[in-house]
Amino acid sequence: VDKGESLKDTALTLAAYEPDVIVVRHPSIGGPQLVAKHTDAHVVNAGDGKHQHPTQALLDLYTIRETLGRLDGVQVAIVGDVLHSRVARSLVQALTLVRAHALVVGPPTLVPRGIEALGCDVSHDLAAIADADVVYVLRMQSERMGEAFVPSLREYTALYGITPERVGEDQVVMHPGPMNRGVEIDPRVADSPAALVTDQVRAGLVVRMAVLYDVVTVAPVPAREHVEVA
Amino acid sequence: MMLVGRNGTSDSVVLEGRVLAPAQAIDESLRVTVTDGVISALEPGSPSGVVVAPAFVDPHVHLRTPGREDEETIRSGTEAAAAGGYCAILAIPNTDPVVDSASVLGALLDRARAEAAVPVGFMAAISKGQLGEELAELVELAGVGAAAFTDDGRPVVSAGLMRRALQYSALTDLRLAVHCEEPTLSRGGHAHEGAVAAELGVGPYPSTAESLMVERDLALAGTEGRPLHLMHLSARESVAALDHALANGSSATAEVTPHHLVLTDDAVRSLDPNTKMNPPLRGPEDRAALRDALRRGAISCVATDHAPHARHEKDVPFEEAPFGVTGLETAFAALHTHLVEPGVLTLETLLERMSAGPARAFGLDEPRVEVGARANLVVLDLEEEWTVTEDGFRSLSANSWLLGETLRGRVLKTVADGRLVHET
Repeated sequence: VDKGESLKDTALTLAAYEPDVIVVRHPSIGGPQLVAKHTDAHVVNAGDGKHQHPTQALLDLYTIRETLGRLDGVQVAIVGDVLHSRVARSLVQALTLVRAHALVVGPPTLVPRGIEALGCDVSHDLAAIADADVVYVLRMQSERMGEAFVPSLREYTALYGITPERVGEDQVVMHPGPMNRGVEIDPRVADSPAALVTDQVRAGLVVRMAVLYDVVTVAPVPAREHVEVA
Repeated sequence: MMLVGRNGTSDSVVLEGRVLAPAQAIDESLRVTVTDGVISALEPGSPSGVVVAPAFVDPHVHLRTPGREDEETIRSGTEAAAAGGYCAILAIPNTDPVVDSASVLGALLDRARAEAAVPVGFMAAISKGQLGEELAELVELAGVGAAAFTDDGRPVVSAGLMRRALQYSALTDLRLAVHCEEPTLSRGGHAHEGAVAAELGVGPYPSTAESLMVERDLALAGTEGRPLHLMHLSARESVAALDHALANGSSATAEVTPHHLVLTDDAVRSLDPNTKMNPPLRGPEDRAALRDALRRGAISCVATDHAPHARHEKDVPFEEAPFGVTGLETAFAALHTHLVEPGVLTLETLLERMSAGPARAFGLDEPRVEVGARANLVVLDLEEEWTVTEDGFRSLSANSWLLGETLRGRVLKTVADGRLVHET
């Protein structure tokens, strides 16, 4: 790809090895669909641009269920830069599918217009997370300031940073990693027993093994079909 | 202003059917005799199951010449126009090099005389290099034969330059045609701002990016007392701004594309790069406002914004794909199928907005069905069904939003400037 090869040609090249599965992470929305169009292999989307990150959503569901013992009716508050987050989009859809509830919280500039259509509620006030079972913290990238999405990381942290005072006793905290300690998540929260970040990483291993196992063995997924697990 | 086509003989043909010329209030079964390119007789005839109408005029075509002759040439683009029922088209100057000098424009006119299947007018740039910094030599370009001025492909970002262009172009009898886009609002945008873009994570391109510029340019044209043509409107806020200006005496004209009339941003869910265009497909309320404005005549032109792209440049993920779709060969059938047949628009209105409307907006002779007029006629079979396929185009490109779709209504014959240029 570095030499300017098109994604189509990369797909055709990989397809020539006749793999059972191609795992695609691509900076462009729809990259995995394009690969699926040009190969008979099962294609697993490992993240495409700002669109979807289905296996992250699966491992998050797994982690929540392992921790809380249920998914039905669980309240999840997703906090931060929803606009640029494929994790948030997949997670909202996944939560809706399992009858859990998603609330997205962030500054108006970082919550996309129309996101309610995915089945979530929206708030710009961090106080709205009080009723959540899970506080799901999104990574805040410093380049967002240059584009005037927020005035400064300082102000962002003041408004939306997850500090110990802002986490209730019964709440757990999740983050897809890598964390910006001191920006979107206070290190005292990140290192507290409430934080499930390393559980998520462990869940990622088993869930992704399960996805691969399913697509090559039991799943009746027709060839040339995009595997949209979320 | 000059429309130029291949020099050659005029044809003699007889066309018979239901003659429908809404601008002239003609709707009767006639036999139209064309002798040496001129309509010589109109006599009672049989309906013969076909419609004979004034041929179409497309005010917005990217011929990609010079610079991207792999995507379209004057020959292929005008053959596509002939197949679509067009007797005249206007080409956009965002080529490489840009049509901003007498020498480039002159070379295009010469080439069109050698190879254009239907008459073409060439628009020239408003600003040198379409950079939005200095005015192009508008008077010299008008003298060589420019059809109008536009920086289409880009907006004229500077309000000051836009005002000067409106003022200075009064030295010509040509109008400015504007692509309305506020770039700081559209930056990074690939789809209409709304639920679909939010769900897909595609960068949002809000309606205000268009409508603010529409409001600005209408205000400037109003105070300068100059005509203005608004290209490819997509948003209901733009229609509202146009309505407001027209109610206050504006002479502005506007166009809408077949894809904005038929599709909404729901089509973008497919992530098919042939649903990506600038301005983007918008919501159902926007589409309804566009259809209504076309019906009322506030928008008086259907324009294809035919924008050919090389196959390999569209066979990429959505966000990496260039904006634009082709349209010359499918415009009538698409609008007949999706608007006329379901009763959204009458056939008469569609024919008027594809022919007399755009001709009037750009000061071209309106194609007419009358004895003594040069023949500019199209013969349409409203019943015939056909499927749009990648290898069915005269255009060198195939980036159509209608690939695989079966349409009802077909252009059987086109007579352009007295020549039979298309026959199935």
